[in-house]
Amino acid sequence: MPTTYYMVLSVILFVAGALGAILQRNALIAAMCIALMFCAAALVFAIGVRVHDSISGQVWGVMVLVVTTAELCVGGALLLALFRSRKSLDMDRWKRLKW
Amino acid sequence: MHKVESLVFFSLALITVAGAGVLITCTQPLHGAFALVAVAVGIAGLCVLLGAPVLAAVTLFLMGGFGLLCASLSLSLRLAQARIVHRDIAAYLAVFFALLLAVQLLLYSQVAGEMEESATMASANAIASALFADFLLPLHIVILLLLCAMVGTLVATRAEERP
Repeated sequence: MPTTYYMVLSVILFVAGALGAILQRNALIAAMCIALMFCAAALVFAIGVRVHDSISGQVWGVMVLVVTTAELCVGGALLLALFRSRKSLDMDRWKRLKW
Repeated sequence: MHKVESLVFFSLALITVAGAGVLITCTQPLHGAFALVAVAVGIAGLCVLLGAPVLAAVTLFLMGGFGLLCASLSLSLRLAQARIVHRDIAAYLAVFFALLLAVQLLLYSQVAGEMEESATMASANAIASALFADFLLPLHIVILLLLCAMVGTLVATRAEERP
């Protein structure tokens, strides 16, 4: 199976995640769309493993995914705090940076 | 064997793209969370197909776990309203995806034998050795970042103290 197919699939996933992160109004779904973009990045790291025949791609991919998930969890905690104060996760209602 | 690998690839790609489509078009966070879990399963399968089993496991645990975290968050915030997919459609979808996964498992059992002989399939032992030898500094930076993230999450989600 040529790696071009995997690359095209990862590009499709990344673009879909970017579109969802831009267009979705719900902050939680937008965060999940950002996670989708990082899933596409993980697929690119796996493609690198096959192309270069090295374990460095897996190691860096694991590190990137761990850091990404930690940041997404912090973002989820911030969303939870925002929901407590604003009673909504609609990003169109968040027009001020201070609350 | 090439046809079997192509079939596994296209079925995993179908699951992944369908999950991504559901995720970017859904209105309920609960549906999006389960779509993200489906995407994580598909990406993990593709990583295994590419000869990166450790990356597949990490993707499945972390991204699938984040999806389930979002599902529990949406349920606890009462964002999941009663507007769920019709019961019959949900049952048909569940049966379809269960059959799809079963077919994939059967096909993968045929592909796995050949993949174990591949030179690109690095073992978890080799990755652990590389982590603690060549990538020691990045590993410690990641550990420090995780500690900061854990403390930040605890502080951000702490309920306000009552007087």
